[in-house]
Order: sequence, then structure tokens, then C-alpha cells
Amino acid sequence: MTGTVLSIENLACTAKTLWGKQTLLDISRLEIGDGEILGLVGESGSGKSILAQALLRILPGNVSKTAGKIIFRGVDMDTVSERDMRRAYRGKQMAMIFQDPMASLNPVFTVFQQIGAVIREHYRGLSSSQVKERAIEMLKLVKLSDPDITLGKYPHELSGGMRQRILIATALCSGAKFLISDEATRSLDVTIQAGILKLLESLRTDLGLSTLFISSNMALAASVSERIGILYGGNLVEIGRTEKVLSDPRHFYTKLFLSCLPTQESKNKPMKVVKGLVAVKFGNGCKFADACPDAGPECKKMVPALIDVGDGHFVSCLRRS
Amino acid sequence: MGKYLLTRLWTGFFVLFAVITFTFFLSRVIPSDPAQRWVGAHATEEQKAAAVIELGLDKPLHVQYLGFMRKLLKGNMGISIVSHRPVLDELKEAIPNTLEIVFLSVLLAFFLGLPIGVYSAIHDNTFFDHIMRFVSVGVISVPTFWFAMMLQILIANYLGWLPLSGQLDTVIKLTSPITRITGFAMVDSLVTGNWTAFWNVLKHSILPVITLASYSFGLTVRMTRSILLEVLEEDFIKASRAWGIRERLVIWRFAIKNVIGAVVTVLALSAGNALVSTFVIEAIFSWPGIGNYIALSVMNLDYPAIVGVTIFASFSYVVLNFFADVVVAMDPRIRFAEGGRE
Amino acid sequence: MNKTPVPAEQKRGWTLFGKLLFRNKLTGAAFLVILVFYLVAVAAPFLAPYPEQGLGSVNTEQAFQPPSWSHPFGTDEMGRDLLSRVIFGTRISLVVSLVTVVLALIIAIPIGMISGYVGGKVDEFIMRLTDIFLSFPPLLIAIVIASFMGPSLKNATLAIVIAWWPWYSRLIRAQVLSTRERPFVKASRCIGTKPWVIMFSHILPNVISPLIIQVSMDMGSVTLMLASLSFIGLGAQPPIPEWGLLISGARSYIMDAWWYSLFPGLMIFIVVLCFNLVGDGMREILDPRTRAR
Repeated sequence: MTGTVLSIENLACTAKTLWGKQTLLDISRLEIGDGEILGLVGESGSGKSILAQALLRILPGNVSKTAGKIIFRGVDMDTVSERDMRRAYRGKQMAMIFQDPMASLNPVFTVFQQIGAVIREHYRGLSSSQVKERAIEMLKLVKLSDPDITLGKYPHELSGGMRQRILIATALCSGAKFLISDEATRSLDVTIQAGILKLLESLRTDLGLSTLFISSNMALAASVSERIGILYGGNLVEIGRTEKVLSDPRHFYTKLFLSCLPTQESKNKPMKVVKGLVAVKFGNGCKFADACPDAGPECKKMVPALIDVGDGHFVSCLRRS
Repeated sequence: MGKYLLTRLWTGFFVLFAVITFTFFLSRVIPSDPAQRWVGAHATEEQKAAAVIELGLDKPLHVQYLGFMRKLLKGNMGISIVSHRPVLDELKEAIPNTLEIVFLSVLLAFFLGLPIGVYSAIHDNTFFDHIMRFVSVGVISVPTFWFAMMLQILIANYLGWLPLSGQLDTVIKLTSPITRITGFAMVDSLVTGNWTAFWNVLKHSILPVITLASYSFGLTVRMTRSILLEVLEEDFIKASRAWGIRERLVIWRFAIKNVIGAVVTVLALSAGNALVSTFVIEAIFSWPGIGNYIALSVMNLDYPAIVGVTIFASFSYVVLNFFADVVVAMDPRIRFAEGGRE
Repeated sequence: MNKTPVPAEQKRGWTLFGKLLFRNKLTGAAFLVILVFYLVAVAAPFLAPYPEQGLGSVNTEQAFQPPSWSHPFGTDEMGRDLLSRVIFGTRISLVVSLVTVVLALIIAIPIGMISGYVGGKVDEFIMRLTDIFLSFPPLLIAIVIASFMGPSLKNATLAIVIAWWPWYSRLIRAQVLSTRERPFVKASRCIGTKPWVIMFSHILPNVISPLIIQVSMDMGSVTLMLASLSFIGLGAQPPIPEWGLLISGARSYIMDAWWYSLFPGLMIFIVVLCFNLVGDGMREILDPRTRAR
């Protein structure tokens, strides 16, 4: 697959809180290619959602993008006005699904009313029956049975898996080829999760859909992504092809993260835990320095840049290069 | 939903019944000698004795109660001790006037309060928002009776823009009296094409309506603003924006529907409050409604009238509460509760 | 890159509370005004220019004086200095409203907690009872009760207490119900903790927060109710200088002695406004969602 869909350079977002300004995100570079699924893994508070919201420019009120560039299909997003953002990008080119499918659907409107509104917004001048046709088409695309009946239901009458599929359908109904999935499977059962992942994969092959798959579940992200990135404290600490990162993790945080996952060998041993809270206080150097057993004096002085360790694998660590 | 509403209806009846019974027994227990007042101060002993029998006061209390309830179910609320007219007729004259100003005040509060509340929430923390927040808090902090008096002093007396009190100028009462069809002065005068009377009544009603509306208005603005702010934080609003839907639609179609229920409920309850305030406001503005009627009845200890008004009041509150319950039940989560699918 | 160190935990305690309270300058100002009123209430005999008139002694030659240097608020129909009357009125409005709310809580808390925790028939019965009260505006109930008890300040207070406690009971019951299902309470029951202990140490603290918000918002309403009752003659009786009563007295002279109706009402307005502003402020402080803004 050729072409870069998304390219991020030195993106920084800060929040204004009662205790002063706090940097939530600081990513030096990130790229997603056409028709690629990139997994982004991190714990709560690592800045994953902020990244997703920054891309669509729907950051919460007290958070703002303070530095860097977002280049989407060759266009510098800073040059896009809010009006164009809404008309041409949100929903049309970039789509997003959130964590809690119940919370993402308006409880007092039927499925048809909601997905219909989106269709009407992006395709003006359609008749009622045309809108309905397209809605049914979309629901079929996400492999929902009985789309006709589903359209008439309210969100609380449907199961979690169905809701998430509806959300994917709604997000994509205006032809977007880039989807951000912000912890979209977190609140679902394991089997339903698998179904959604399969759906994302099939959409990739059928539609050429590129996905940014954000999750706190390493195994889940790894199973669906070709490339995977690790976030810690708002920084991208490691990124590369999934098999490579999993088999040869270079950043100590990644190693720790992976070692916490239960495997056959660790069956009867005590579970490993990553010591230390996700950093709230920051100094000048590497965010992980305080908790890193391998840290040296230079780690606290400088922020490590992303260093190429070969074959598209990058690590943001001074000790591993 | 049906089951929920049925329960609420049942509770309503229960409350109504309890209040009516309670008031009845209270009015019979309080020493006030209704028979004496029925016949007047200059009556003889025989006349009074006859009155006692006529009013049924010689029968034991529970018999009186049953008789009372039986008559009530037929629509007979007894005869006023003071005027010797059926209480029901007197109520029929007074109620429409009160309903007029209460209804207008609720309309004013809703159609002014809702948009302001929405605008305030969308543009929160702006100058407009701060002003409106202050105004709405101010308006619910004002003692209604004092506000009425200040309006009288300022607008009626000092500026002379509007009449001081009453419902209709005596001049108009004589020159173009309103033919009574529904009992609602404004409706009747409109329907019969009596423009002079209509404008006159309208002018007289402005100050009472503004006074009554003020509290409801403030409450509506506050409630709308606070609920809308919460709703705007919800994920589904974020999602609709992420899908690219126009902001105007996001707010006025998708967000509003989540707010309306609570706002209407608040309005129904503040209509109930207005009904209480009317008691004092009608006295201040000499508006011939229920408030005036009950003031006189209480002063004269006219117990059939008091009981009659109490029945009307309880009935109104039960209706208002039920209306609020219906609006709450319209939420699809309650309407189509299947007992949980997830 | 952000260089300032950020605290890892939130600072709790009075410094944070004070900072939040005064973050909204309006709330902070309102809080101070209320304090001032309470101080005035305490120091009334020393602040009022004519303390005896504040309490009721007459001075008929001075009747109906418009505001002047010697009588900043003017005088009433008996020649009493209105400013002194109003200052003494502070005592009633502020103290009585506090007492009313406290009494209502004293009744409502045990009832609400038992109703919520025990459930069953007891809960059903209490719910029915409160249902009746909740169907009507509290002012109405207070008027009805006060008219049966006979007009006096004490009876008006009791009437408001009786009209008000069901609202608190409902609130408390709802909180108890939701807290009761939380894991830490269930765990406590599993290890056999006595119900009373659970209610006091686990459930009560969780009930307090919304209660504080409600109470601060109610102070204003209760003050208004008291004034309303006195205005229609069912509350404080002359010569007690309760503000509502003063306005009622002023009604007959409304067009001639505008100061007589204006100032007591203005005082009610200011006090209730400040109570409401502080109540709003409390809600903003204690509601975790609005805190981040």
C-alpha cells in the first residue's frame, strides 16, 4: 500500500489545570500508511485519547495543541478552518469511534435517526428512502443482521457488540477511509471484541480503510495491527512492526509491559507489576527515568529522540541504541 | 411505561383522597360555629337550630363525612356560609382568572427562559452568561410579594405605564362588558371581538404575570443551563461532532431532547409554586382569582369554601405532578424498558 | 517542555477549599456578605442607632420620616427608626433560618437513613408519607400548618420544619440506596459489621456531600418562606421586626412611604441572593465534574 495517510511531527498538547499547565502529549513523530492498521498501546493517562481528539480537533475545553504539525493526506491541518474541519474532515475523511458504545449513542433517538442525520449531513438532498437505503447498506457492511429492525431501535435495546458495529457504520457512512478507534473494544466481552477486530480487518481489505487502533490491551492491539507503538507519559517510546517489537523490545517500558502479560511459563508464578505511577511530575529528561532500572545519569538530563534500530523499528531511549 | 404511570396515578388519587379527608375532618374539628355564621349575628335560637339541621351538623362526624364524599362525587361542594351560593359556582368564577395569569406566566417563563438558558450554556463563561446567571439567581431570590409591590410603586405609580390593580377598568366594565363564554376574560373578549376589553385586561395582567413568571423564569434558565452543560459533556455529543454534524443541529436537535424532560418537569413544579404565590399576588393586585377567594374564605372561616378550594388545589397539584411524571416517562429508556438486555 | 513541577496528589484541606471558594469572585463576595450579616445579627444592639426602637418602642412624632442622616432608612408609622428595625430583623431571618434547617435535618437524617438502609415495609410507609408532602409546594404546606397552629414566629418555624424535612429524607434515602450497593459496604456487611456502625462510618460520610450542597441552597428558600409567612400574618407578630412582617406593615402606606416597603425587602433580597450564590458555589466546589473547568 502506498502513500502516507497521516503524519505527525512534534505534536504537543497541554492542559490548563488548577495546579498550572501540564503537558499531556509530546510525540516527535508518527506515521500511518494507506490501508494500514497501526496499534497504539499505553496505560490510562498515557495520552492516547488526547492524541485521538487532537487529530479530529475535538479536544476538551481546557486542553489545546501547543506545538507541532498534523499532516493528513498531504494537508497541514493547521491550515484547515473549523468550518472546513467540520464539512470536509470530520466524518468525511476522518472517523472516530469511542470507548463506551452506550455513551456514544444518544439515548433518546433511534439508530435510524442518528445514522440518518449523519448521512443527511454529508450527502445533501437525499430523499428519506435514499437515506434509509444507505443506512441499511452501512449496517450490512458491518455485518449486522436484520438492519431494518435495528434501525428502529433505541440504543438501550441493543447489545454492546451491536452498538459498537453501529458506531463503526455511522462513523464510516460518509466514506471516510481513516478510522480512529479509541479503546473501542474495552467495554466488550472477549468474543465480541474478536468480532470487532475481524470486522476492522475485513474493512481494511474491502475498503482500504486505515485504522489507528488505540488500546491499553497489548495483546489485542498486537493481534490486529501490522505496526505497533507504545505510549508512556505522553511520549512515544517505541514503534515498529508488531512481530519485531514483541520479539525484540528495546525500550525498558515495553519490556516491562510485555512481561506483565501472563503466559504459559508464568502460570504459577506471582504476577509482575510495573512499579511507579504513570508519571505526573516531570523533569527534563526521559519520563520513564525514575522508574527505569536501567536508567543512567544522562537519561534524566535529555529527552531521548526516536532512534532507528533498523527495519522501521524506532526507540526513544538512550540506553538501547 | 404504562405500569409506571398507573402507579403514579394511583399515588395521585391516594394523595388527593388523603388531603380531602384530612381537610374535612380538620374543618369540622376546629371550633368556629358555622351554624352561627350561616344565620348571621341577629338570628334567633330557632333559626340557628334550624340551620344546624340544614347543614347536617347534628349528625355524627363519620356520617357527615360520608354525606360529604357522596355529594362531592356528584360534583356538589356545598354552599358557602358567607354568600349562601354554591361553592362550585363561586369557584367557577374565580378559577379561570387565576388560570389565566398562571398559564401566561408559565408560557413567559418557558419561551423566554429556555432560549436564554441554552444560549447561556453554549456560550458559558462569557459576559452574557455571567449576566444571565446573576439575573436568574437574583430573580429566584426576590420575595415575590415585595417584587409585586416594587413594580406597583415603580411602574404603576411612578411611571404610570400600567394600571395599579384589578382586572378590568370599571369604565370598560360598563361600556364594553365581556360576555361570559368560557369564563376566561381574555379568551372571551377575543372571541367576541371586544378589543377594548381585551387590551384592557391584558394591560392589567402584565404586572401580575411578570411577578408570577419571575421565579419560574429564573428556575428555567438555571435548570436549562446546568443540564445542557452536563449533556454537552456527554460522549454522544462528542460523537455527533466527530461525525461532522452541524453544531446547530447538535445542540438544538440532539442535545435539547435530553434537556427538555427535566425543564418541563421544573416548569410543572414551578407552576405549582405560582399557584401558591398567586394567593398573595392576587391580593396585592386585586386580581379576582382563587387567591382572593381563599383570603376572604379564611378570614370568614367559611369552611365549605375552604374545603372547596383545598380540593381544587390538591387536584391541580396531582394533575401537575402527573403531567411531570408523563413527561419523565417519555424518555425511551423508561418507555421501552425491556427489563435490560445488557 | 514543561519545566514546573506538578504535585502528584491533590492538596486537600482548607487551602484548597478557600482557593476554590474565592475562585469565583462572586461566590467569595457573597460568602463574605453573609458573614457580615451574621456579625450584624450578633452585634445588633451595638450597631443599631436606636436600639430600643429596633425592638419596638414608639416615637410617634417622628412617624413617616423619609430617609435622612438621622434616619438612613426613614421611619415607620410609629416613628420607629427603620434602620434599627431592619438591623434587629437580621437576627430573626438569619438565625431562624439556620435553626429551621438544622431541625429539619435532625428529623430527616435518621428517617432517611433508616428508610434507605432497612428497606421493606418501613421504607414503603415512609415513602408514602413523604409522597404526600412532596406532591405540594413546601410553602403551601407551611401555610396550612401555620394557619392551624396559630400565628407566631415559633409556629411558623415549626411549620417550615414539618414542610421541609421530607425533601431531605428523600435525598438522604436516595444516597443511602446508592451507597448501600457499593462494594465496600457489601464487604463490610460480609464481615459482620453491625448496621449502626455501617450507617455511621460508611454511609453517612457519603451522604454529607450532596446534603451540604442542598442545605446551602436551601438557606435562601427557607428565609424566603419565613418572610412570606410573616407577610401574610402567619409568622412573626408585631412588634417583632421580621423583614416580611415589616413589608406587610408597609403595604398600607405603600405609595406615601416608599422607603418603608423598599428597605426590608431589599435586605431579604440581598441575604437570599447571597445564600443562593454561596449554594451555587458549594455545588461547583463539591461536584467533581465541574471542578476541572
